[in-house]
Amino acid sequence: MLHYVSKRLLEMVPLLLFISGLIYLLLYLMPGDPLYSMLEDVPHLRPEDYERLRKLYGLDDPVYVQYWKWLWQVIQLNPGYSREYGQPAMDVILPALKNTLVLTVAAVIIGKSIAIALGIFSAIRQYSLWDYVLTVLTFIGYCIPGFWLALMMIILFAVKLGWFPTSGIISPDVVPGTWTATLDWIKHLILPIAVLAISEIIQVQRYMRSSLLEVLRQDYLTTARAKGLSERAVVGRHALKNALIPVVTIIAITMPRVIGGSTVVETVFGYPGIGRLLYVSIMGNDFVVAMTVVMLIALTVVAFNLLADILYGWLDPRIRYQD
Amino acid sequence: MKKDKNGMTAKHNKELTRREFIRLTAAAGASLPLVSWPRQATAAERGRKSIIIHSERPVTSLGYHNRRDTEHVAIADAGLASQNPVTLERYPVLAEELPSIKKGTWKIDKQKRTMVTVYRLRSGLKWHDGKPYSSKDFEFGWQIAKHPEFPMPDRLVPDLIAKIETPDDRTIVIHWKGLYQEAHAIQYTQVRAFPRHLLQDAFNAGDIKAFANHPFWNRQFVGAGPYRVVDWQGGKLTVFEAFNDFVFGRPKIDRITLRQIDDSNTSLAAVLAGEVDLCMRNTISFDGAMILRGQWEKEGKGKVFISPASWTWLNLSRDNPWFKDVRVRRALFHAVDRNALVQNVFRGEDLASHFPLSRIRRAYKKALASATVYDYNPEKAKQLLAEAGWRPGPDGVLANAKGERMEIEFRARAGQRDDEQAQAVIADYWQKIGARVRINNMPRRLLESSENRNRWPGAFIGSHNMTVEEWAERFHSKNIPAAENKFVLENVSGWRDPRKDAILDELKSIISDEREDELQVEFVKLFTDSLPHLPLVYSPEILVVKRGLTGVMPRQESGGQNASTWNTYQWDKV
Repeated sequence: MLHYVSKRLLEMVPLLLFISGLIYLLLYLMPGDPLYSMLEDVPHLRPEDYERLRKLYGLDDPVYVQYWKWLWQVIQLNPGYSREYGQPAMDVILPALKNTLVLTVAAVIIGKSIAIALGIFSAIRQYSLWDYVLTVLTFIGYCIPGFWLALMMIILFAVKLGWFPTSGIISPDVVPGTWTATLDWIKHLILPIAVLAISEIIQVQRYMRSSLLEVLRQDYLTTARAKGLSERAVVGRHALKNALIPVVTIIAITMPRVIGGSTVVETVFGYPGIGRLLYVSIMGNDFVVAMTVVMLIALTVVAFNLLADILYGWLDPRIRYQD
Repeated sequence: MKKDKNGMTAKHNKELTRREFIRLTAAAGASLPLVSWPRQATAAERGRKSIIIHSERPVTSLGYHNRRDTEHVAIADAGLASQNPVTLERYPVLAEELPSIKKGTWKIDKQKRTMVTVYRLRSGLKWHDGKPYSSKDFEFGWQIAKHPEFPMPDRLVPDLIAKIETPDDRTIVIHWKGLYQEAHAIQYTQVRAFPRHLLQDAFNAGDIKAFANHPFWNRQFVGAGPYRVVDWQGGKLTVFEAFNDFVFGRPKIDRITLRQIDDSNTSLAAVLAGEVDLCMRNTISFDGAMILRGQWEKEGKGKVFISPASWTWLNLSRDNPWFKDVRVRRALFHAVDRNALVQNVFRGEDLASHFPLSRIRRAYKKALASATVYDYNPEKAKQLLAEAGWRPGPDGVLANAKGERMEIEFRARAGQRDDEQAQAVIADYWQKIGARVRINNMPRRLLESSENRNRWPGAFIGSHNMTVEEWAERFHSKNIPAAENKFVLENVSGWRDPRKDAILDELKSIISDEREDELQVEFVKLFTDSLPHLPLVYSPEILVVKRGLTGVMPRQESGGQNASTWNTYQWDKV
């Protein structure tokens, strides 16, 4: 197993290099002038100023030179300076990443736990009233765009009921580091977490239900029942583990969102996370930040694929990794 | 019935699970209100006045390089002079008084076309860190601004200054290379001081790239404005605290939190929930403003201001030979019912405009009287088109002698809702007189790409400020965008007229108020006669002020030095 993991880790290096080159090229080829966001509303801009700024920011270098400069800085663990935020890129990315991780990890844990529980419940109560109710709710959930749900929750819980704040991460007038600030922070998190968790529930619940239903029809479970095992033991001990295999795949595929955040939810809730940061960086042609965030997401995709492969071996005794 | 090892029936198990589920769901639902904790004591309740502002402008730097925002800088820094954006009156801030020709502190050599202005700083000025503010700091600020490697985009004023002398700590003598009509009221947006005691060593080190990235420019900013920066979160959230030693005294509000909000719905919800004291810079959309007027304002929760601060124009491509004929431009303008447009898109707000001069300018009334006003007259439009050789073909579409059909590609910035709505209305009017219109809207970054910047094949609806001080940039013949100037210049209409250029040149020189007014009226006459742009409406700027916040005044003209936060030191929360 160790050899397998090491081999996979080594394979990740050229893959990530290829991804970085490709993404850099795509960002470079995007239409738009990298200076445009800086130059809007500059009334006395002269052509010589424009040329001067292009040179100062290294934008007149060929793309491979720009890429190499970026890569060299990344190798030195210093991706460079954000043009859009006027700060070292990591000073911009790390707080946003922390904010997003808090939001998405909570949403994933809550959402996927509820989804798995509801999926199991739906499967073992197939064609019951609750199964129908959950199915209908899930399909309604599929049809509701995330931004609309977020707005409706803001209107109901923040504007009408006043239970939660409408946006942001902490109220400006609370003293940081106090218990009040912690409570205030949690209050700010509840609505965005709820919106993201609902999206997680909708996605995973159906997979869990169908996967468990498929497993429940297997012969070995009939054998387990024939041996006199309780339904709880049949489902919990024998069916669930195998039913989780496809669900793990789905979870692994969706995990990069944990790092990537949700641009829509973060924008609607004015939440300073990584999704919004990536969007702003791309729109502002802030290559340093955009590339670093995209590479973090790429790294997460690759890492979670590896993790999913390892989990298969644990979940399914038939799968064994050869050295 | 099947039993498990505990002797319980499967049915019993099933009922229990369902009940448990219902119980759990009910408990979760019932506990939901519990998460609404008691409201914590706010700063205001603890005796401190604090406000929250929403702005849509991202900001990189307070140093006027990179992406910057006049509103942020107006809170954190101050210049020798400033401008009231409500009356356009200029007044001294850090200077004791504005240089004047009468007092001999503004000397003009018209022969050599040079000037000298003398500013005297007020006594006892301090930086936010308590260190004394001196004339040498101003000279240092100018050296930074004019350094070729310092990424300051707008260097008009730094480049016009030949030399700065500082005979003592309070006197600044500026020697000018040319004539500049604003030389007597230099504002922070043009040239300002930076603290030598904090920056001199970094500047002298010679690595200007590292210097431009110095944390001073945002998170460690030290200025001389009414508020000092105490928290900087990447320009998304900035917290300012009142500066005790501000030149006009300590501001009444202790703390300002300025948040950058991307989505107007977010701001709208925050206003309705009472979480924000001020929304500026169109954080609230026009539709949002109407909602607030209908509900929130009526309930006495605050005030919604809609000010005609900039203008929305329609431009017919300077590269398209059809539109070089002024009769075609006039016809297309006569074809549009602007009153209906204002009624439909802007709910009847008084926003119709005829030329790029704001209503608060002294010359406005005279300009209006002398301007050619194009009323809605589709018959006249058809007649003018016929005179220009455009007649309806068998399919009703206008065609000229060459057999070209009048098919106009009409662009706007995608997502700019007011412009898109106006565009749809105009396209409909043009179709009625026989033109065919193809809408092709693009996101801002595509419009600003090297392929599209400042040019379009057919028509474009856009908006920007109309400040007279920037007319030359917008309308002078030498500022027509072209490949050789990378299309960065702003006379997008391509308007060429030596009479107009003479007016603009004279407006840039030192002239009396009366002469300035005459020239503005003359310009408006030429503008409305030639119609380089089709002036549509004044673009509304929305300012939403929560009840209790006083002193906030909607600016009447955007652009230039006009900041909505120009007088934060006068604001109060009652």
